Amino acid sequence: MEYFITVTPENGESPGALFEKIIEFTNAHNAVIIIPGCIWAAEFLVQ
Amino acid sequence: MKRLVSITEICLWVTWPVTCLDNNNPELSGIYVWAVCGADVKPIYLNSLPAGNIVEDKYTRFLRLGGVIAEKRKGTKKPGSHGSESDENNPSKAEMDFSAVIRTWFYNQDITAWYGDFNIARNKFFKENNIFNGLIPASTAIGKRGSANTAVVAGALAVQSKVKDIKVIPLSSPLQKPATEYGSSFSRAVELVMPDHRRLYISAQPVLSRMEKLLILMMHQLRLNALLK
Repeated sequence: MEYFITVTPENGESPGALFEKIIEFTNAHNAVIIIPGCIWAAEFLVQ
Repeated sequence: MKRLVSITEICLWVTWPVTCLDNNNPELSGIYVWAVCGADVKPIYLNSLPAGNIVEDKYTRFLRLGGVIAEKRKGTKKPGSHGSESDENNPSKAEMDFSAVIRTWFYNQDITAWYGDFNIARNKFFKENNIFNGLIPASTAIGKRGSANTAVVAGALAVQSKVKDIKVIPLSSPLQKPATEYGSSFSRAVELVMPDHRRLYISAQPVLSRMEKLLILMMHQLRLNALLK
Protein backbone atom coordinates (compact mmCIF):
# COMPACT_ATOMS: atom_id res chain seq x y z
CA MET A 1 0.00 0.00 0.00
CA GLU A 2 1.28 3.46 -0.89
CA TYR A 3 0.28 6.84 0.46
CA PHE A 4 0.81 10.13 -1.33
CA ILE A 5 -0.07 12.74 1.24
CA THR A 6 -0.26 16.49 0.84
CA VAL A 7 -0.86 18.52 3.96
CA THR A 8 -1.43 22.25 3.94
CA PRO A 9 -1.84 24.48 6.97
CA GLU A 10 -5.20 25.66 8.19
CA ASN A 11 -5.74 28.75 10.30
CA GLY A 12 -2.08 29.54 10.71
CA GLU A 13 -1.08 26.01 11.63
CA SER A 14 2.67 25.67 12.01
CA PRO A 15 4.80 23.40 9.81
CA GLY A 16 5.64 21.46 12.97
CA ALA A 17 1.95 20.76 13.58
CA LEU A 18 1.60 19.52 9.99
CA PHE A 19 4.61 17.33 10.46
CA GLU A 20 3.12 15.79 13.58
CA LYS A 21 -0.12 15.03 11.71
CA ILE A 22 1.85 13.15 9.08
CA ILE A 23 3.76 11.13 11.67
CA GLU A 24 0.49 10.33 13.45
CA PHE A 25 -1.12 9.20 10.19
CA THR A 26 1.78 7.05 9.06
CA ASN A 27 2.14 5.46 12.50
CA ALA A 28 -1.59 4.68 12.56
CA HIS A 29 -1.30 2.95 9.19
CA ASN A 30 2.00 1.25 9.98
CA ALA A 31 3.51 3.08 7.02
CA VAL A 32 7.11 4.09 6.49
CA ILE A 33 7.88 7.51 5.07
CA ILE A 34 10.02 7.40 1.96
CA ILE A 35 10.35 11.13 1.69
CA PRO A 36 8.68 14.38 2.49
CA GLY A 37 8.90 16.01 -0.93
CA CYS A 38 9.56 19.42 0.47
CA ILE A 39 8.65 21.44 3.48
CA TRP A 40 7.87 25.04 2.81
CA ALA A 41 9.22 26.63 5.92
CA ALA A 42 12.53 27.80 7.27
CA GLU A 43 12.14 26.15 10.62
CA PHE A 44 9.99 23.71 12.53
CA LEU A 45 7.88 24.45 15.52
CA VAL A 46 6.96 21.26 17.36
CA GLN A 47 5.39 20.41 20.68
CA MET B 1 5.54 23.97 25.59
CA LYS B 2 6.58 24.72 22.03
CA ARG B 3 10.17 25.06 20.97
CA LEU B 4 12.05 25.59 17.77
CA VAL B 5 13.75 22.56 16.31
CA SER B 6 16.45 22.95 13.69
CA ILE B 7 16.53 20.87 10.54
CA THR B 8 19.80 19.34 11.71
CA GLU B 9 18.08 18.16 14.88
CA ILE B 10 15.21 16.66 12.89
CA CYS B 11 17.70 14.82 10.70
CA LEU B 12 19.03 13.05 13.79
CA TRP B 13 15.78 11.23 14.47
CA VAL B 14 14.35 10.54 11.02
CA THR B 15 15.45 7.96 8.47
CA TRP B 16 14.37 9.92 5.43
CA PRO B 17 15.84 13.04 3.87
CA VAL B 18 14.38 16.40 4.77
CA THR B 19 14.07 19.02 2.04
CA CYS B 20 13.24 22.21 3.84
CA LEU B 21 12.67 25.31 1.75
CA ASP B 22 12.49 28.90 2.77
CA ASN B 23 8.91 30.06 2.75
CA ASN B 24 8.35 33.65 1.71
CA ASN B 25 4.91 32.96 0.29
CA PRO B 26 2.25 31.81 2.76
CA GLU B 27 0.13 30.53 -0.15
CA LEU B 28 2.79 27.91 -0.84
CA SER B 29 3.16 26.32 2.56
CA GLY B 30 2.70 22.65 3.16
CA ILE B 31 4.31 19.25 3.09
CA TYR B 32 3.90 16.35 0.73
CA VAL B 33 4.89 12.85 1.64
CA TRP B 34 5.35 9.49 -0.03
CA ALA B 35 4.88 6.63 2.44
CA VAL B 36 4.45 2.88 2.05
CA CYS B 37 3.46 -0.07 4.17
CA GLY B 38 4.05 -3.73 3.56
CA ALA B 39 7.35 -3.14 1.75
CA ASP B 40 10.95 -3.14 2.82
CA VAL B 41 12.42 0.34 3.07
CA LYS B 42 16.16 0.72 3.26
CA PRO B 43 17.60 4.14 4.10
CA ILE B 44 20.71 5.52 2.42
CA TYR B 45 23.02 7.87 4.27
CA LEU B 46 25.46 10.43 2.97
CA ASN B 47 27.84 12.10 5.42
CA SER B 48 25.89 10.41 8.21
CA LEU B 49 22.63 12.11 7.21
CA PRO B 50 19.65 10.44 5.50
CA ALA B 51 19.92 11.04 1.75
CA GLY B 52 17.23 8.72 0.48
CA ASN B 53 15.33 5.48 0.73
CA ILE B 54 15.14 2.35 -1.36
CA VAL B 55 11.76 0.68 -1.57
CA GLU B 56 10.95 -2.44 -3.54
CA ASP B 57 7.85 -4.15 -4.80
CA LYS B 58 7.68 -7.30 -6.91
CA TYR B 59 8.24 -5.36 -10.14
CA THR B 60 10.61 -2.52 -9.34
CA ARG B 61 13.19 -1.13 -7.02
CA PHE B 62 12.77 2.59 -6.38
CA LEU B 63 15.42 4.89 -5.02
CA ARG B 64 14.18 8.29 -3.88
CA LEU B 65 16.78 10.86 -2.94
CA GLY B 66 16.06 14.20 -1.36
CA GLY B 67 17.73 17.11 0.34
CA VAL B 68 20.91 16.60 -1.72
CA ILE B 69 22.94 19.72 -1.12
CA ALA B 70 25.31 21.36 -3.55
CA GLU B 71 28.38 23.28 -2.55
CA LYS B 72 27.97 26.94 -1.85
CA ARG B 73 28.93 29.45 -4.47
CA LYS B 74 32.50 30.54 -3.91
CA GLY B 75 34.51 32.91 -6.10
CA THR B 76 34.03 32.15 -9.78
CA LYS B 77 33.02 28.54 -9.30
CA LYS B 78 29.84 27.74 -11.21
CA PRO B 79 27.10 27.01 -8.70
CA GLY B 80 25.52 24.25 -10.74
CA SER B 81 28.65 22.19 -11.16
CA HIS B 82 28.12 19.85 -8.23
CA GLY B 83 24.39 19.22 -7.87
CA SER B 84 24.16 16.56 -10.55
CA GLU B 85 27.41 14.97 -9.44
CA SER B 86 26.00 14.55 -5.95
CA ASP B 87 22.93 12.86 -7.41
CA GLU B 88 25.12 10.51 -9.40
CA ASN B 89 27.05 9.52 -6.29
CA ASN B 90 23.95 8.58 -4.38
CA PRO B 91 22.42 6.07 -6.81
CA SER B 92 25.83 4.43 -7.12
CA LYS B 93 25.65 3.62 -3.41
CA ALA B 94 22.45 1.76 -4.22
CA GLU B 95 24.07 -0.03 -7.17
CA MET B 96 22.31 2.21 -9.66
CA ASP B 97 23.80 4.77 -11.98
CA PHE B 98 22.27 7.99 -13.22
CA SER B 99 20.70 6.26 -16.23
CA ALA B 100 18.13 4.83 -13.80
CA VAL B 101 16.92 8.32 -12.83
CA ILE B 102 13.48 9.16 -14.26
CA ARG B 103 12.66 12.33 -12.28
CA THR B 104 14.69 15.09 -10.69
CA TRP B 105 13.85 18.09 -8.51
CA PHE B 106 16.07 21.16 -8.21
CA TYR B 107 15.42 24.03 -5.83
CA ASN B 108 17.82 26.73 -6.95
CA GLN B 109 18.56 29.76 -4.87
CA ASP B 110 18.20 32.97 -6.91
CA ILE B 111 17.49 30.83 -9.98
CA THR B 112 17.03 33.60 -12.54
CA ALA B 113 20.57 34.87 -11.87
CA TRP B 114 22.21 31.62 -12.98
CA TYR B 115 19.68 29.37 -14.73
CA GLY B 116 21.86 29.50 -17.86
CA ASP B 117 24.90 28.27 -15.92
CA PHE B 118 22.77 25.61 -14.27
CA ASN B 119 21.68 24.33 -17.69
CA ILE B 120 25.26 24.33 -18.97
CA ALA B 121 26.40 22.28 -15.95
CA ARG B 122 23.51 19.82 -16.28
CA ASN B 123 24.02 19.47 -20.05
CA LYS B 124 27.72 18.78 -19.49
CA PHE B 125 26.95 16.15 -16.86
CA PHE B 126 24.31 14.49 -19.10
CA LYS B 127 26.70 14.49 -22.07
CA GLU B 128 29.57 13.00 -20.06
CA ASN B 129 27.28 10.31 -18.64
CA ASN B 130 25.59 9.47 -21.95
CA ILE B 131 22.15 10.49 -20.67
CA PHE B 132 21.16 12.08 -23.99
CA ASN B 133 21.33 8.63 -25.62
CA GLY B 134 18.99 7.19 -23.00
CA LEU B 135 16.15 8.60 -20.94
CA ILE B 136 16.30 12.29 -20.07
CA PRO B 137 14.51 12.58 -16.71
CA ALA B 138 11.45 14.71 -16.15
CA SER B 139 12.42 17.57 -13.90
CA THR B 140 11.50 20.55 -11.80
CA ALA B 141 13.83 23.50 -11.35
CA ILE B 142 12.36 26.36 -9.37
CA GLY B 143 13.71 29.29 -7.42
CA LYS B 144 13.72 28.43 -3.73
CA ARG B 145 16.29 28.73 -0.99
CA GLY B 146 16.96 25.59 1.01
CA SER B 147 17.45 25.71 4.75
CA ALA B 148 21.18 25.03 4.37
CA ASN B 149 21.48 28.20 2.26
CA THR B 150 23.27 26.38 -0.55
CA ALA B 151 22.95 27.21 -4.25
CA VAL B 152 20.92 24.07 -4.96
CA VAL B 153 18.92 21.47 -3.09
CA ALA B 154 18.24 18.45 -5.29
CA GLY B 155 16.13 15.32 -5.28
CA ALA B 156 15.83 12.38 -7.66
CA LEU B 157 13.80 9.27 -8.28
CA ALA B 158 15.52 6.27 -9.84
CA VAL B 159 13.88 3.04 -10.92
CA GLN B 160 15.38 -0.38 -11.50
CA SER B 161 13.24 -3.00 -13.18
CA LYS B 162 13.02 -6.46 -11.63
CA VAL B 163 10.91 -7.93 -14.43
CA LYS B 164 11.01 -7.64 -18.20
CA ASP B 165 7.70 -5.96 -18.87
CA ILE B 166 8.48 -2.57 -17.32
CA LYS B 167 8.58 0.37 -19.73
CA VAL B 168 9.91 3.86 -19.11
CA ILE B 169 8.71 6.25 -21.79
CA PRO B 170 9.63 9.93 -22.23
CA LEU B 171 6.59 11.96 -23.22
CA SER B 172 6.40 15.20 -25.16
CA SER B 173 4.07 18.09 -24.49
CA PRO B 174 1.77 18.87 -27.43
CA LEU B 175 1.66 22.57 -26.59
CA GLN B 176 5.33 23.10 -25.78
CA LYS B 177 8.54 22.56 -27.67
CA PRO B 178 11.06 20.11 -26.20
CA ALA B 179 13.18 21.67 -23.44
CA THR B 180 16.31 20.49 -25.26
CA GLU B 181 15.46 22.95 -28.06
CA TYR B 182 16.15 25.92 -25.80
CA GLY B 183 19.26 24.54 -24.13
CA SER B 184 17.74 22.81 -21.15
CA SER B 185 17.71 19.06 -20.52
CA PHE B 186 14.55 17.46 -19.22
CA SER B 187 11.64 15.48 -20.59
CA ARG B 188 8.26 17.14 -20.36
CA ALA B 189 6.99 13.99 -18.67
CA VAL B 190 8.03 10.39 -18.11
CA GLU B 191 5.65 7.48 -17.95
CA LEU B 192 6.47 4.35 -15.98
CA VAL B 193 4.45 1.44 -17.29
CA MET B 194 4.26 -1.52 -14.93
CA PRO B 195 2.34 -4.78 -15.36
CA ASP B 196 -0.52 -3.71 -13.09
CA HIS B 197 -0.51 0.11 -13.25
CA ARG B 198 1.08 3.16 -14.82
CA ARG B 199 2.67 6.23 -13.25
CA LEU B 200 3.05 9.60 -14.91
CA TYR B 201 5.75 11.99 -13.73
CA ILE B 202 5.16 15.45 -15.17
CA SER B 203 7.82 18.16 -15.16
CA ALA B 204 6.88 21.39 -13.48
CA GLN B 205 5.11 23.47 -16.12
CA PRO B 206 3.56 26.41 -14.29
CA VAL B 207 2.64 28.23 -17.50
CA LEU B 208 0.11 25.58 -18.44
CA SER B 209 -3.55 26.08 -17.72
CA ARG B 210 -5.68 23.31 -16.26
CA MET B 211 -7.22 22.76 -19.70
CA GLU B 212 -3.76 22.39 -21.28
CA LYS B 213 -2.73 19.87 -18.61
CA LEU B 214 -5.93 17.92 -19.26
CA LEU B 215 -5.19 17.90 -22.99
CA ILE B 216 -1.68 16.55 -22.33
CA LEU B 217 -3.03 13.76 -20.14
CA MET B 218 -5.67 12.85 -22.76
CA MET B 219 -3.11 12.74 -25.58
CA HIS B 220 -0.74 10.58 -23.54
CA GLN B 221 -3.60 8.26 -22.62
CA LEU B 222 -4.44 7.80 -26.31
CA ARG B 223 -0.78 7.18 -27.12
CA LEU B 224 -0.43 4.72 -24.26
CA ASN B 225 -3.56 2.85 -25.30
CA ALA B 226 -2.08 2.50 -28.78
CA LEU B 227 1.22 1.24 -27.32
CA LEU B 228 -0.49 -1.35 -25.16
CA LYS B 229 -2.61 -2.77 -27.99
